[in-house]
Amino acid sequence: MSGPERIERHPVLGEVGGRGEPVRFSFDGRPLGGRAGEPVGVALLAAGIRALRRSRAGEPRGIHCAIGQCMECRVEIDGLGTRRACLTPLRDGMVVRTHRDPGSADG
Amino acid sequence: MDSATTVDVAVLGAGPAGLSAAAAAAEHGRSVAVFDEGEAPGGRLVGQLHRERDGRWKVGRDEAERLRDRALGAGATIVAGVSAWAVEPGWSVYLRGDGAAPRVCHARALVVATGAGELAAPLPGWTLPGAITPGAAQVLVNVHGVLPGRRALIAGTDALGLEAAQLLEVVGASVVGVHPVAGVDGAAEPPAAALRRLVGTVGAAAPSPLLRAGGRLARGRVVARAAVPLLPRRVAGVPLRLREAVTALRGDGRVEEAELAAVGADGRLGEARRTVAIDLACVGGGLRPLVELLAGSGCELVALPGLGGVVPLHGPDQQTTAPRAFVAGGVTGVEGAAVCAAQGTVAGLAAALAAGAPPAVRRELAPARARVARRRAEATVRFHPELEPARARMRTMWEARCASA
Ligand SMILES: Cc1cc2nc3c(=O)[nH]c(=O)nc-3n(C[C@H](O)[C@H](O)[C@H](O)COP(=O)(O)OP(=O)(O)OC[C@H]3O[C@@H](n4cnc5c(N)ncnc54)[C@H](O)[C@@H]3O)c2cc1C
Ligand code: FES
Repeated sequence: MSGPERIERHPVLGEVGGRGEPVRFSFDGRPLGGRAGEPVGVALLAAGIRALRRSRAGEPRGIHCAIGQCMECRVEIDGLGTRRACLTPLRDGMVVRTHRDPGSADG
Repeated sequence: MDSATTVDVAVLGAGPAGLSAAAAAAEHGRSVAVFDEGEAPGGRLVGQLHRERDGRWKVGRDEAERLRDRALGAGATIVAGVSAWAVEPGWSVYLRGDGAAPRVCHARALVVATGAGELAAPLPGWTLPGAITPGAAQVLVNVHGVLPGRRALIAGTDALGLEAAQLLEVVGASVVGVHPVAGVDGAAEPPAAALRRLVGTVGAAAPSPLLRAGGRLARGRVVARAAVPLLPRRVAGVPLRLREAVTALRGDGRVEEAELAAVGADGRLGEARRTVAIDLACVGGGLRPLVELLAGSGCELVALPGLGGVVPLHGPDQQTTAPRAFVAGGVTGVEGAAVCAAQGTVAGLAAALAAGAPPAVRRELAPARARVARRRAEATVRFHPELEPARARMRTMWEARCASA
């Protein structure tokens, strides 16, 4: 089991996903690569990172609905604040961090 | 930024329903603005992929592009990346977004086409990273090009779960099974009842593989009534496991295994548990119309389970109980994209009339309504077996409302 990965060629659709420029960004200080314009959460998933925030009790949470409805994918983005990772387009140099609710167990 | 814009018709949601409504209204000379919180128009259609009876694939994103181009070609404005958070009779739509998009839109007529959302199933462990909805699997794979896991279990035996299973296998993941979710009462849906329900969700025209499978299920209809039904092991190429329910998902910081229990003919779970190693779980509890925006609108809401839950009371021209407010698509009841688009056209024509289009436009309503009925008859999948009776009930309720008003 190798976890999430990019689909290089979709058997039906051919090219899928962001065709944006390769960009660099960071998550909790870790340098990562992604494609400009794809959702931040997608770039993180492709890098094998699924836990995006901690619940109040300190449990990890990640992408659940992928379409902006469940709010489980919240991350902190420098200059933007708290954002849904499944919707927010990735930009070069973004500094992204795990979201913690104020007063959460490990916050 | 504080800015306002004024149009004849404001459309909330750029899925097949909203885009069709926008095109119809704009084609009749109305100024139209469509708002959607997604990054691109198309709604849930962009993630969909269906195989036709002849083996060809019907690609949702292509259809979404056609609908978008038609709306733009007619002169509608589409604003993506903004959420509508309230509507006020009159109409005013309040918006939130990052860019330079307006903060409020005033409109003579309103079309709400916010679609449907997925419900979670109460399964211990559903919040673990790696537990996503079947719809999320569609979007991640077909839109964003990321395979969310290599070894998946589908929890929830409905049309969407089967679609997700099939898709994951097509793109090279292995699906260990499509299983029912154990209820909090320690029981699951009895296998024979689950089979009957699945047969009931297969539309009359059934072309896709799920639906060919549905055909097979339908032939098993008689068998399904037997006390110990003969269940197909694989449906549309995916392993359907109605006799084994998921009782929990577990893992250290992410989904690593699922716990399963045998389901008896009466739905009761056996004592024994087995676990299966996975790195992805698609957990689905069905779909429900997204009616929240209508809360402050004055539109009356009614609960009809066959339509997916609480929906706006609406008439044959997609009108609501609030003046110059119309609804179309999933928000009126969960149905496939073709039906939603046809409803959108009706709503767009009706909204155009309400916003001052020439009365001659009225003549186009009847054929547009007939197209909704036709699309429904041709539908390949029905999200609830009681859809038609619920639509009939809505008609009765609307007529009763009109008679008393
Ligand atoms: C996850 C999921 C998967 C589905 N898969 C299938 C399938 O495989 N086959 C099938 O036939 N049907 C499927 N359906 C049914 C689906 O409802 C229809 O196919 C169709 O897409 C509905 O069209 P619509 O225009 O009514 O809504 P949608 O396509 O859902 O579009 C609604 C749009 O409104 C936007 N929106 C919602 N609220 C707001 C707001 N407050 N502010 C701004 N924008 C907002 C959304 O971003 C979305 O783009 C699925 C539904 C869901 C929810
Ligand atoms: S994953 Fe549900 S809002 Fe982002």
